Amino acid sequence: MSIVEVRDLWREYTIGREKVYALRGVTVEIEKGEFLAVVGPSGSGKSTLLHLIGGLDRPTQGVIKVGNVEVNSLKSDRELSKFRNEYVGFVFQMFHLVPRLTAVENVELPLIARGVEAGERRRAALEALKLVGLQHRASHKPTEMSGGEQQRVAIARAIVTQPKLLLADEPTGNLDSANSKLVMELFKKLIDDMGVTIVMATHNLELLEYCDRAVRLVDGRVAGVYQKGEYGKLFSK
Amino acid sequence: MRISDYLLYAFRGLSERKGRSAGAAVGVAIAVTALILALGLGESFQRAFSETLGRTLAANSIIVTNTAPGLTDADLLLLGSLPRVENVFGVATVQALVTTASGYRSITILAVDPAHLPDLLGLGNVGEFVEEGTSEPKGLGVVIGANIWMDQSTGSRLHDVGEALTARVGGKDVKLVISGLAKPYGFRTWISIDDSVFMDPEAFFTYVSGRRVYQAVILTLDDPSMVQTVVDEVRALAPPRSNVFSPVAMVAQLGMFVNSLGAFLAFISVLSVGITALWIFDSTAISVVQRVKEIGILKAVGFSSTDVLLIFLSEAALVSLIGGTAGLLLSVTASRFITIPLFVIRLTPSLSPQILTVAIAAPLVANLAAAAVPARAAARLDPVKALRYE
Repeated sequence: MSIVEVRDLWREYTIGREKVYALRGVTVEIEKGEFLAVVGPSGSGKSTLLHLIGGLDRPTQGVIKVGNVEVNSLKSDRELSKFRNEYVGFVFQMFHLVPRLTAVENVELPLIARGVEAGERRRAALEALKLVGLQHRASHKPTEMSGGEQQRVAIARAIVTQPKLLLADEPTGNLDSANSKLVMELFKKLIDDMGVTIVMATHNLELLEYCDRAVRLVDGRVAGVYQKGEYGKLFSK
Repeated sequence: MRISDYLLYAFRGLSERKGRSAGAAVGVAIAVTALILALGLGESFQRAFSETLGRTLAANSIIVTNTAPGLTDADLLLLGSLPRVENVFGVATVQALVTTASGYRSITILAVDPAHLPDLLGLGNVGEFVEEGTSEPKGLGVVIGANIWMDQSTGSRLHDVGEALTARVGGKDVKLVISGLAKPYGFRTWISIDDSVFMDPEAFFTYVSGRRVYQAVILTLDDPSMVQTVVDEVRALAPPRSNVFSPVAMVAQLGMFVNSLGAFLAFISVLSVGITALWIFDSTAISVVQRVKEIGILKAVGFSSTDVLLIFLSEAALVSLIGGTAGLLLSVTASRFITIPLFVIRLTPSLSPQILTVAIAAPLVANLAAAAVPARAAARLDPVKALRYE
């Protein structure tokens, strides 16, 4: 059963008088509980695809369905923000934690947006931190933590609302190999324990061993879809 | 998002830039203080005029003073014959010394027909004048002012009804009998009631003063609107070196002073509100620029544009409320020390709920309006661009 359905997705930007196409008719389906990698060179449209699926950006044309929600039909800011809060968790390369807030306060942010009562959201945030093995760092600020720890806090923030979909944009781009491995194992654990679906944009083909499938984008188009066992073809590209 | 969370998040934002937040709060405090004092003094004066001054200083009276050579019965007749003059009476005064426990003290012996005492004092009836004893001095029986029979610092009684009082006037002693004790009164235009001894005019001219002259003449008119016209006529007829004035004109002059002071404070207040609003605008704009990435994060995790707008507006509102509370406390403290003596009363800024509401609301509205521009810009930020912002 597919949880994400993307059909003929286009995203066009106008820079000055010039039209730039970030995506040109991308079609892809993602199964529930799948760990999908989106690979491709810089500027191929990986991040744009994630932003469009997650409702951070709006497509020029095409259909995006996440669960029962047709994301491309959400017009108002209120609908889109509600969708992001309820359906999606984002993990970014730069972690994107609020520096003045502690780890647990950062994790609480999506629950604040949702209007959850203070005690309840603190419990949920601590639980999420426990899941990523950082309950002991709850009162530390991002500047007091290593890159790997910061990314795990960001993952805790992404899963605290128990979303259906986790969108990870180069989640290991700023991590060493040990921490990258830790994050990938954490993703696998989330899929197993929570049944979450993960879409990860990455340059790092070594991470594909953790993924169920890979979609290769080139110049905004799908250049190939690779099942587990076919990743060798990607290394030769 | 819950209202408490807007405030909490706003507070965290403010605490990150303590200096700018404190500066803005001080600006609001100055604005609120100046506004409260300006409005408070104005209202206090209006109330004093309508409740006290308007009653005690008869709007239809004219006072003529002439200490030397004084005003005679002929002058009284002449002034009393002017059109619109309904009533006229003279007040004779002389400076004297009376013995007290700590030595001599200076007093004024004031002679006025008891029938005219209510007119002089601005009272409904002469009975309101005394605390104890008779209100109508007769013969050598006198009514003495509150500062003479009562110790001003302790409030203890120095004299009683029936006691003798020796007044030294021009080198001779005059034996008087206290027949009444006046209530504390205060100043009334040109005499201090509390430092005076009230005496029957006939006895005054017989035992105290050898000359039958008055130091003041008071005229009352049948039409208050004619006061200025009659003042001009009295000035033409009064003996040389006379001083002619009306309490209403004096109150009007004082009213102008109080209003000018209020206008000055209001100007400071408007200036402070304006500067504070500019400060808030600048502070919020800087904050938005510094927190672009944070805004992107908030939107990515589900905060709506309205949430972002309200977070920044809450910061402006918090600064206003913190500054407003400080200004309120400052005003309450300052109002205890700011007093303007005005005849029988002392003006202190009125701190009515309406004034306090306006004083708190005005900077709040101005600051929210100032913060709205950068806050709207923050709310409209594209989350993708915000997350990529360096």
